[in-house]
Amino acid sequence: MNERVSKYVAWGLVLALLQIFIFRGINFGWGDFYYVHILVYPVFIMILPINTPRTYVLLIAFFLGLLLDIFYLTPGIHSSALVFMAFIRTPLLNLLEPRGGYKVNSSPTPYHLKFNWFLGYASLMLFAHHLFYFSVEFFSIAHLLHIWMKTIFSFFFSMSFLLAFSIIFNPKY
Amino acid sequence: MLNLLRFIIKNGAVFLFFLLQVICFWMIVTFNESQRTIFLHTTVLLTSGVQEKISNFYDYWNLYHVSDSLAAENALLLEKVMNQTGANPDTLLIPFEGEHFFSVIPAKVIYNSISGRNNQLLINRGKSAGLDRGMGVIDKQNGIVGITRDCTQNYCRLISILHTQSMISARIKDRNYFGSAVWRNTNPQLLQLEAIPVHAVFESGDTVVTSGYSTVFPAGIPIGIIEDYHLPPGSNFYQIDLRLINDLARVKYVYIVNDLMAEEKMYHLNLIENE
Repeated sequence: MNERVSKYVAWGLVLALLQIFIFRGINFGWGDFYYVHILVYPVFIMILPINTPRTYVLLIAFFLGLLLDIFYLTPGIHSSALVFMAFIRTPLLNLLEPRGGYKVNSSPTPYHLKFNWFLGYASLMLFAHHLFYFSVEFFSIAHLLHIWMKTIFSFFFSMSFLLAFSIIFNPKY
Repeated sequence: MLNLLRFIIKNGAVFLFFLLQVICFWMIVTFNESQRTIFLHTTVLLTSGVQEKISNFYDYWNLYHVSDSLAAENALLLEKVMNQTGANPDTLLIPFEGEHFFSVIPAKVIYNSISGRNNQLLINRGKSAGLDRGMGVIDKQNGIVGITRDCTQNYCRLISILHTQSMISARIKDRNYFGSAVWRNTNPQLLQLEAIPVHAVFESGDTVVTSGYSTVFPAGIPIGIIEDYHLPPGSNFYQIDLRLINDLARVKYVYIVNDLMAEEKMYHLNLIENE
């Protein structure tokens, strides 16, 4: 169990560092508007063990978001989006529960469940996160079009990296 | 209480979620410049309607103080005007230093009547404000209200010009015939101008002003306009109906004119009467 926890901590740090040192610098778009921001760190909240207490998930999300916010110099924005995603994690897991239920001590990863299942689960989670994140970033419904543009384009790129990550590393816990 | 606690524990995640979101949004609007601007702007937009209503409400209650200060200001200006017209500008007239004939005191009417035969008013200034018996009370710059009668420390009773004992020394403006304005009938809009001699030349529409021949009112304050006149058979004096300029039913703020030379003038007037 302790080994599992330390592995998760390591993964969390790796994802946070990846985000801060690599993906933070990758922003591109068309014209004078940057539509694409790649956000990969939500995958850490996604792959937490299924039996993790909901309050722990929320708190982990809050502090991971805060860590990113410190480096993004945007206090509260990443935390808010990540806490929101953590909040919808349990209902979504209940909704997507396969026939026969989840295995004991398993995580919602392609290793424990089917790849298609993970694709659907990760898409919903990531889209919700991106939509919330950009809504909070713009903080105004006057920019509804920009919010959706950013959400859709960024979601596409983030999802690509997330799938690449899960195929390459395929965490086995 | 226990049920509430159980409810909170059972839905701990939901409460934690809202708590964390509140913290996040607090951080967002506190530390992020653009989000804070939007937040403040939105708050202003949402609350400005309510704020305006609150402000209107307080303004309404402040009107009392506002009108009080305006009354004081008006009194000051009125005093200046009176003392200027009192000394007729003339090339040969050199104004004396510190020449000051009238002082004006603002007051508020706290009781008024117009329907009786002997109408009176009560104002909220008395001896402490320098009021005394026999001072003229005017309504802004147009129209007279009455004369002070009994003054206590903080209040003063006036006899209205709509009073049987009221008698105002008046003059037809620009024609300089003088007489007395009295109240003979029961219409609170009409006074009678008496003692205008039969040879006087005037017409309906002429303005009647105070004459200044007494210690009550300074000269030149408009009283009313001549509406109708006739010469009773066998009389040497016209009977003139005078329509008041001001509406005594609506008088709220008044100014008491204190003739600073009253005592000296009264000395001479008494001498004339006694001879």
